[in-house]
Amino acid sequence: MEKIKKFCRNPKFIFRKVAGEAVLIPLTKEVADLEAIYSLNDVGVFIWEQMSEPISLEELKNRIIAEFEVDESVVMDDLSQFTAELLDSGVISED
Amino acid sequence: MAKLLEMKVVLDPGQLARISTDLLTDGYQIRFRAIGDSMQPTIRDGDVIVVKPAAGRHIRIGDLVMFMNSHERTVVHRVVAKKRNAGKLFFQTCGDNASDLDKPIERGQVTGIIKQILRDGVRVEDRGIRKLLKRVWYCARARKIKISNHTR
Repeated sequence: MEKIKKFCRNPKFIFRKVAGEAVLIPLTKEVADLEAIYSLNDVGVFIWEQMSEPISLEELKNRIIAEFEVDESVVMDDLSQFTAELLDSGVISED
Repeated sequence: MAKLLEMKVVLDPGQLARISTDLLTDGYQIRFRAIGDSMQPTIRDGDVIVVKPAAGRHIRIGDLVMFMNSHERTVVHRVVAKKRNAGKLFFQTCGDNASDLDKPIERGQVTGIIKQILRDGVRVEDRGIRKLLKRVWYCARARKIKISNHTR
């Protein structure tokens, strides 16, 4: 049986909300790099919060649908793309 | 859904000042790109600066420090004098290339101390006698500005 992939945050990113902007700041050699900041929208913040513990895309999708009134097919497409981007940039990792 | 993640955003100066202060207060070191020419030639426009938290660290005359000014902008200038007033410690700061002294700041306003300056990825740093002479030179320059402003 195939193991369900789960994802969680990379602890080497600091999350901050400043002046209405939610951002992720990478820690490179213990230094917060303000040159490489990522911005998150409300859904992105929600996903980041859910990833404090390892979570599957299916579970994440269900939580997003419960929290925001969005269409399931749209959520799954965007979520897959978002997760791929986060994995590429090292913001999250596979558990 | 709108795009969830926007890669590598550029913050406005106010946001940068708040995030910098926030991170330094939490004990993180930070790095960012310098804008402006008030610290030339020590820090050039486009240099990358690494800053360590100032809390709990001794600040000496000649140190380059970071603070938020009254316009909520991040400033990196040199401490050129210290004074005590009503039991509080104040620093007089000045840019190495500035023609005026800054308004004195309280010790608590200093959020960071400059640890490294990187130019084109290479660390630029004065050491030994050169470092000392540079500190003396820029502090003397600031004193001259003060006297000149006083006699105007």
